Amino acid sequence: MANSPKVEVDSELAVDRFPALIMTNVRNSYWLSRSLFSLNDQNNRMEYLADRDRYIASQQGLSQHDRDLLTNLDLRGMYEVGISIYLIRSLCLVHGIGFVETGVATGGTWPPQSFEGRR
Amino acid sequence: MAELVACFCCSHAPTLAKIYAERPQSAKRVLDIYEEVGARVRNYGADLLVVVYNDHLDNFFLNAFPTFAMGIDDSFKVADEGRGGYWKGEARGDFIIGTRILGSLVEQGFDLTACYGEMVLDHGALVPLLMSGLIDLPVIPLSVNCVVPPIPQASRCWDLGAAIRHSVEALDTNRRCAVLATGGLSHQLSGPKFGVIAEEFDRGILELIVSQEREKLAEMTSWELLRGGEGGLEVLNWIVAAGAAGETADGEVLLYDTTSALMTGMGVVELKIPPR
Repeated sequence: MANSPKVEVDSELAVDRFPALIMTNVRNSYWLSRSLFSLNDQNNRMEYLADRDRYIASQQGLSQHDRDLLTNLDLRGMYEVGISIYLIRSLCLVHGIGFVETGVATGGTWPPQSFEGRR
Repeated sequence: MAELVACFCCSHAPTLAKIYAERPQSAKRVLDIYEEVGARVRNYGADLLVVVYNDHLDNFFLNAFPTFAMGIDDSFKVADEGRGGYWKGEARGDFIIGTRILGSLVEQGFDLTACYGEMVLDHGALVPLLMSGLIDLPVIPLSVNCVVPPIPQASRCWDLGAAIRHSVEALDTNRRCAVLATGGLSHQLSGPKFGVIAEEFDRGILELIVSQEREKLAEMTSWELLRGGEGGLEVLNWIVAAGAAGETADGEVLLYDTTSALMTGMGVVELKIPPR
């Protein structure tokens, strides 16, 4: 420890200072993320597609809001609670939803506007 | 002794998988440049690849997301990614060499997570390997956390790259190793900025990484990288490669493409390692 550099506690890398809508919000979205992550397994995916309501009901830790987001396939809502786009993307692949359609459903437009112009 | 013979950086957009499969004429230039990367790597006689990429919540999950992780195995399966994977084969690994590189990195103060089995490779590692035709070479996958905060500092990534080079050059074999860093440049795949490309950001990264002032990349903050969207953080993978190449290597931009269908500022760069 004697040689360890002093670390600033309010480092810009601190979890809480990342804007929730830019990156995965790990505080709000853990269990819903877990449910989406489970669909990266072929057997789980088959169960989910066979009976979505039953699959969603079987998932641990979900709030009622989480369950509603899943049931309604509310991609914008998932984005707003901080679910990683990569997990949303996996869910969309399960449903055969294309990449552009996925991005637009999270609040985007297509074709996109310029980045710099929107900052 | 083993030798680091090449360093390349390239984008790894999942949309590339579709282009790879369908090979549309509109993407010919992109396809050609990735094949050029493969040809150059083979021309250098590389027989081992350290692939620096970021897992997209396909192998790791929020319950245990390592800042840096290395796959140590003789083969790697392909991540499912919600669709059964982008490829049906398995990538080759090298358990012995991987173990030795990892051990050397730990000795140098980098406490990487060791993944000794069942590590799966997602599009981040896989797509560039397929597109460059290098999928037959043994790989040592190195995952950098660019997805779940907190992410590593750029300076740490630079230092890790330098340590990788030292690890390779300390190997008591005649292996010829290439570093292939994947990811970036700017992309944002969700929300109001979905699909937008930050060309100014991209060109700034490209200009710096091919210059002999590339160590300035190590000074970039997370917020500066986020100017390239959430995908801008994947430039950290490139910074690992830049650290391996060092300050004096010449650099060459092989490709910068903003074809909107890819939703990514597509960049391909070589950092030329001087022959020993």
